[in-house]
Amino acid sequence: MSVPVAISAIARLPKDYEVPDELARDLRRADAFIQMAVVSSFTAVSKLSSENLPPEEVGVFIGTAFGPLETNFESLGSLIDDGEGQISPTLFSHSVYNAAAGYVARLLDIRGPAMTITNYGWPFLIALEEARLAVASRRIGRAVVVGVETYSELLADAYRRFFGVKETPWQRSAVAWVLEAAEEASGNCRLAGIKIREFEADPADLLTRRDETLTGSGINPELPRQPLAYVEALSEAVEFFADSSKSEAALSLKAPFGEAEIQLSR
Amino acid sequence: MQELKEQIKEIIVRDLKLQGIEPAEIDDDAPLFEEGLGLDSLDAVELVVLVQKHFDVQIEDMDEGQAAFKSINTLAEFIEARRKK
Amino acid sequence: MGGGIDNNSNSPVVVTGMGCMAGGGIDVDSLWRNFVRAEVNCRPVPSYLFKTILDYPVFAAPVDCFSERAEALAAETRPGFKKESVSRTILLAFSAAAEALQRAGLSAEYLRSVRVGIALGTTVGCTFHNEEYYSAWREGGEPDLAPVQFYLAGNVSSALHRILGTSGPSAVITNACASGTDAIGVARNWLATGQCDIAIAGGADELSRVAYNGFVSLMLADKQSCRPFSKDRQGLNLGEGAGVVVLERQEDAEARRCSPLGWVRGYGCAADAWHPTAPHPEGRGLKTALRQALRDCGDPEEIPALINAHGTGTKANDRAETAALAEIFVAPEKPAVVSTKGVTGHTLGAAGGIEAIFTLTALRYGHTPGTVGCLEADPELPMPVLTQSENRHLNGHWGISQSLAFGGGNSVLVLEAAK
Repeated sequence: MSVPVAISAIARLPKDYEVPDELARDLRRADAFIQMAVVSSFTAVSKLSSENLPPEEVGVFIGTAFGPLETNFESLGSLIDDGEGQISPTLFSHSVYNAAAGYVARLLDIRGPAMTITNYGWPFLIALEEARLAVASRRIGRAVVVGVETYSELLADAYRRFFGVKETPWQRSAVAWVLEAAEEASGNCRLAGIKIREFEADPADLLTRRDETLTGSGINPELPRQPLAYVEALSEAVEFFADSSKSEAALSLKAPFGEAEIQLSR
Repeated sequence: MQELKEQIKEIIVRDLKLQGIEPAEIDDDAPLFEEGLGLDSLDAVELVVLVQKHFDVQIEDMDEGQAAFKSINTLAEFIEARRKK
Repeated sequence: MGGGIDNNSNSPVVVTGMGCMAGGGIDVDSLWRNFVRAEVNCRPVPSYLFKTILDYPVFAAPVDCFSERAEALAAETRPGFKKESVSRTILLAFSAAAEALQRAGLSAEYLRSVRVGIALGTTVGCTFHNEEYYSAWREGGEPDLAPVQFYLAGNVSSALHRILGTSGPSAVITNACASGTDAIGVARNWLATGQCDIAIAGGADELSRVAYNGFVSLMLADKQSCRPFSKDRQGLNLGEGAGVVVLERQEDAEARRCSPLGWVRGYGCAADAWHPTAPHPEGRGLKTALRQALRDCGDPEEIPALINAHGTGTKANDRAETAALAEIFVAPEKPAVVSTKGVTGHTLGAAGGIEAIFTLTALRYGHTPGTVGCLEADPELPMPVLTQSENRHLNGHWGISQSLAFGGGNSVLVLEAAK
């Protein structure tokens, strides 16, 4: 019936990432959002030791809170500055949230599902669950799951003014995981299940990420106040679990805007 | 006309974000699409907007566009013939 | 908490409600009537939406797109709710959802007692497109922060949960033109794996000045009403609206004595991996998605009675889409293929939701109107399509609704009508 799903690779994009030479030409028009999604996916997939799969059996799932926000504003700027009928078609098409998934699919030759999901709370988790289901139900054999944010100066300015602070704690970043059907997998950690419940949220909490915690992981439950902190923390928790001798772990994410459980096993 | 061609080459390299090529390296007669510079359909519509913005010359449809965009030479001729003096 | 897929994985998922609010129709009955009468209500962009110097026609929803039914429901579930506090996309979505919930016979009280999953597609509805704020900020000003708060409260699915007072899974699918189709696929998966008990799924998108200009710059828009599959087609018309279905596990619908309208039998989703804006010329990804969806519903022997095509009216889409269909449906007897965008325009994130509703309705009634706007089919299309005058009786109860997205995504739903 359903196949166990392994977490086979995790790649965190370093702050000063470089675009690999083989991707530079195809990424010439790509904005930072797309670049980060592609490079993190590429890096994660290159860590795999499992066999290549037919492209139709691989999918990409992207979860993002703010999408390509910078390009969204550049696109708006193009409309305002250049007048109607002259908005840059490249900027506009890259401001559509799923542009990144399209690039990942093209550059990694992924011809299974390409899905982009947005939510201000835990979009990576929603994407992860979609990916897990797709692999568990044998629709695909491998899924690349990406969490990516570029934020924007406009949002950062709003944050500073709203909370009366001098700095925003964010940093643009991307994290990519690879899930695989466990028989073929190269990892030592299985994703057994995810359950998410969302609560009504004060918009301020979605920005500040106050009181966001991850428990059950063996690492510090307090998360840094950033929209992608939960992804970094989950990544750390998975690596910690993989190195440990525990047979399972029940991770619990809590925040004013929701709660979620992530079940790991071997 | 030469100045126009140089301007067009600058716009193409800069605004279409071409990598690893200088404007001066673009051959006046080289195909811009498919082989040659390898521009694609998204570059084509971007070029239509750029031609409109920089030279105030409209391209009504891609049939007209395709003919004009064959090479730097054809594009320069197209613009020269239509731009308001 | 269970691991992996639980016992419900084989539970059929039924459609118990449908609702829409769009330029193509203010509810499902008007939508269907407009198809049957070939009503083409596209016009210049009305001033209540935005100012424009461009003259490409659009299918705009009414200025007041929050139905009475929606007002009444919101007043019940969220006393004091003010329309002005949410985006037009949310108002469209809620109007459609209110109709769907009413048709499904689901009270607000019942909804609060079960886990409700809300999966909605959108393209414009997630963006920050407040030009005044952006302009003022760009010039170094400190504009009032209300638009930013508005943006942060603008996730369509979260907003519907908030107004309805429901809780459960929540996702906004942003797969461009395939979002609505994918949202229904996602919701079906949630039900099949026990993540929720009721799902509200579909899509919504308001018309935006940015998107309007974007499609014009991409040279994909027609200055006349669109002509899907026509020899002389010149592109698409944008539209706005929302199409929403209510889904449940069959045994749950039976337990509350609700007769289903039909079933979501299969879902497929596949990427072209080809180009940022143009479809693969042979519809490579669509073929994969079609095969997946057909496999998902057990590879039926009979052909689908009806295929609701994406059929936007652009040169590239209509050609690629029919190329894929011709390769999948090779038998001499062909399914009826129709595009509905001549009546609705291209509603981006909402399209998949509105078109699932059209498909199921046609299957239930046993006949389909032809492709409004297609007076003469392009003879070079490899698959026969129904032209405007070719209304057709349908031989069978199941069919397909498919979407091809910007960025190369392809999504397919297999739907079956209850007899």
